[in-house]
Order: sequence, then structure tokens, then C-alpha cells
Amino acid sequence: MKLQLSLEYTLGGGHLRPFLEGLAKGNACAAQCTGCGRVTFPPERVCITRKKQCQAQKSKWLPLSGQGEIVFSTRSMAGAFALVQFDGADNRAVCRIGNPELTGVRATLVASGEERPAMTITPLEEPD
Amino acid sequence: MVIVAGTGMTAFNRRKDGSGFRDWAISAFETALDRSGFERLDIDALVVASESDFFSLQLNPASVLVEDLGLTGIAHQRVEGGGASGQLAVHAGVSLIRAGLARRVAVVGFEASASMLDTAAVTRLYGYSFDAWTDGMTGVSATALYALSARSFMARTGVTSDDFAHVVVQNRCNACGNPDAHLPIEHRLEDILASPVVSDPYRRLDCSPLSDGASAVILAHPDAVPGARRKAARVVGIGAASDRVRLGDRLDPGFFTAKRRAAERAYTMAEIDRPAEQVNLAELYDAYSGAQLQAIEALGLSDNFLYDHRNGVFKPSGRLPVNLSGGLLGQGAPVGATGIAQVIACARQIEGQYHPKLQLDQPPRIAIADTHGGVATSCAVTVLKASAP
Repeated sequence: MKLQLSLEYTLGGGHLRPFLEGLAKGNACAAQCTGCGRVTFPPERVCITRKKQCQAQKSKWLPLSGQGEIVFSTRSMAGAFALVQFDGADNRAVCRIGNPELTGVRATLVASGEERPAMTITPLEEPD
Repeated sequence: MVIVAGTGMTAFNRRKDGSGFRDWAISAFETALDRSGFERLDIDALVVASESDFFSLQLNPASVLVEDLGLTGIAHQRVEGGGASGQLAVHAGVSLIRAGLARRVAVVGFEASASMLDTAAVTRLYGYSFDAWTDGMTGVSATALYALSARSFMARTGVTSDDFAHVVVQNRCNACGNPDAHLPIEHRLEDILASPVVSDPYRRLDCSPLSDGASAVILAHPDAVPGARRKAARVVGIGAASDRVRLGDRLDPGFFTAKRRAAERAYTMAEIDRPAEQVNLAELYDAYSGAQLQAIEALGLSDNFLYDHRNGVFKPSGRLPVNLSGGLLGQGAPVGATGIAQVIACARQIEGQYHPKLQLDQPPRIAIADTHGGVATSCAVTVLKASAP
């Protein structure tokens, strides 16, 4: 038997909407906990600090520069990906490397478009 | 304490015979039931493990299996926890018995990971098994996330790609004694290191296969077991835990924190305080070669895991044999069936009834099965022990 299934989802961004809208345009919209000030990008819904659990459920949106440092990276058949420490964020983010042919430890967030807002970076070439 | 009264599994492989997951589940269940000494009417609950309805195209699979297995009328449920589904289902069965809600529970796991969808589709779906809204939207694959975790692990511990390759060689060599294994292959180290890069540092041969198959155990309260099976292996500890779902939210993305917590809970229940000395056999979740070493570290199975790995401690002849079944790398990985198959390997080894080429001369007294979903996000550990002589 052969059966083909084609599915089209409509996804609601919910509390992540400002974050997702920012990604579409290449802006880093982080969440800052109103309880302890911890900044997360991608945002956490509940504040869980690494040393103790703040557990605050309220945060405000905070724009970051969108630049950061590649901590670890991997080149795969599906593209290149990195764990990135964005400037001003207290957590790290898994990002697609948009221009894997470029090298550099520093990178910047780039616009990924409204159809599929995703954390995408491009490395910043090191100055000679 | 709960007795593993019966065990059964199909071969793990890529089916080309036109059979389906319902056939495999029946086969595994029939074998387990036969070995348990029970009749169908003795079973009073069914727990089904399956990771994804996308693979089987069957929502609520427990509802069709309870009928296919001839168990209509009893309580049934489905357990899902990603890669940990099978072992979490065992935990659910143990919990039903410990809570007094059932006396004999059939736990059946299956997955149609290999033959029903093409590899590209399965790989794409797995990309949504992490945080689909953040990491998943980047198009990252499971292999790439494991690779990032491995990079962190390697940077902290000094583990090398050669160490990973030795895991593959050993596990697939072990699988050569397992007639149910998907990949019984005698690799050379250079074969692993020369295979194509999938997501560096992982190469194709570092990755476990997508498999079809099913497995089943019959769990029972000690008072509800026929005399001949009262000396069967027993579950003496279960533990589960969760980690931050996104690697970037973890303090050390290369350390399996939830696995450590799950193990501590299972060890406490089993009254194990020196796992590196007390555990005699381990079936670990080696979805990728490096994950086996990460597991050994997190489970506390060695005071110096890298030294022990390089000195043969985890080989079949070593102090603590690991993945004699071949693990996921060798035996294969039909996800819902995987954790149950690990428990089967432990139980049969303890009873001295494992595959003859792999059975330890001195059957282990204590064995552990370790499974996880995500990159060790949903972790489950089970401790099995031999009955008192």
C-alpha cells in the first residue's frame, strides 16, 4: 500500500510571538526576568537560573545587539549549526549558520523571514 | 519489587516482508506470555510504548493492540517519552503493580522507524523532537544536536573520535552474537574513521540505525507468579528525571545531568551506593557512539571512565560489560521497543538465558538499563537484580 499525507499547520506563536517576529527581521528579542534580571535568548517561560531556581513567570522583552560568540559548531549534511553565546544573554542558543563558508568566532543574527522564523547567524570575518 | 516473568522480542531490522507493527507486537507479546507461564486472562493491564504516530500512522496504538493481543476489556495506556518511551513504559508497569492497581502487566513496545517512511522523512520529523519552536525551526537534526553535545563533552574530558570509534567497533562486534541484531558487523577502526561525516564529529558509522521491531515483557507481583518463575530477575529500582530541553540552557551541554539524577533515584530505590563496584552489566543508550561514554560518566559506572574505556573495562571480558546486546548501534533502535529490549537483555543475562555467544559465564547479580529521549532530556534508568538463591 502507498499512502501520501500532506499536512499544513498553522502555528500560533503564543508568548514567543515577539521573539519570533524579531527573528523574522533579524532582531534579537530576549526576555528579562522581572524577578532576578536574568536575560534569556531564546526566552524562557519560567526563570530557571543555573544556580538556583528563581521560578518567576513574568518577564519583559529586551532587545539585544544580535551579536555573539560561537562556542561550539558542527557541519552536517543538513547545514552547519552552532551553539552561540549572544552578547547580553545568560543562556546560549542553537543557531543555523547561514553562511558556513565564512569563518569566525563572532557572529551576528540575520533575518530569517516570516515564513519560518529561526535563529540564523552569519559569522563575522576576523579583521586581518 | 516486581518480577520480570516473561520476555520476548522480534528481530530489529528493516522489514522487507510486507509485515507491519501489529504483527511484530503480537509476535513479541506471544513469546513473552509463553515464557511467563501466564494465560491471556491472567493479564490485567497493558502498557504500550511507541514514540511517534507519524511513523506508524496509527493514533492511539494501544487501543488496537489491546484487541490484537486478545486482551480486550483490560486497562490499557500508551506511554511516550521520545527515545525513553520503552523504558518509561516499563516504569509505568512497575508503578501499576507497586500501587496495587494491577498484578500482571504486559508492556509492549514497537516502532516502525525504518520501512514505512523514507530516511529523509524520519530525519526531518526527528528535528521536531527537541524544542520545535526554537531549535527545531532552525532545521537542526538530531545528529547535529548530539554532535554539539559531543563537542562540549570532548572539550571537557579529552575524549577523542578514536574513543568513539572503539565504542562502535565493540558494540557491533557484540551484535555478531545476537541473532536479533540489525547491524552485526565486524568493523575495523579505520572503517569508522573513514565513513562519511554526518555531523562532525559524528560519522555515519557512529550513528545507530533506524529499525523496525517490537519487544515485550510481562511484569508481575511476586505473589502473582507461577512457582517456576518466582526466581526470575526482578526490577528493584526505577528512576526518571528531566533536563533543560534546549542544549543552550544547560550549564554543560556535554554532561547528561538528568541521567545522573535518574540513576541516583534508581540506585536509591535499589539500595546501591557504589554503582561502579556493584553493577555487573549495563545496557546503555548509545544512539551515537559518544553518548555511550557520556552515559557511563553520568551513571557513575566508573571513577575514571576514559581510562577504563581505553583499558577494556567495558568489553565483554571486562569488569563491567556494556551493551553486550550490541546496544542501539548494533542491535538497532525501533524506538518504542528499545528500552524494553534493554530490560530483556538484562533479565535474560541475570537468568543465564541470554544468547549463548553473549551469555556471561558468571551471570550478573545486578544489571542496569538506561534510556533517554532528546539529548538526554527525558531519562529513565532501571535496576534489575537476581533473585536470592
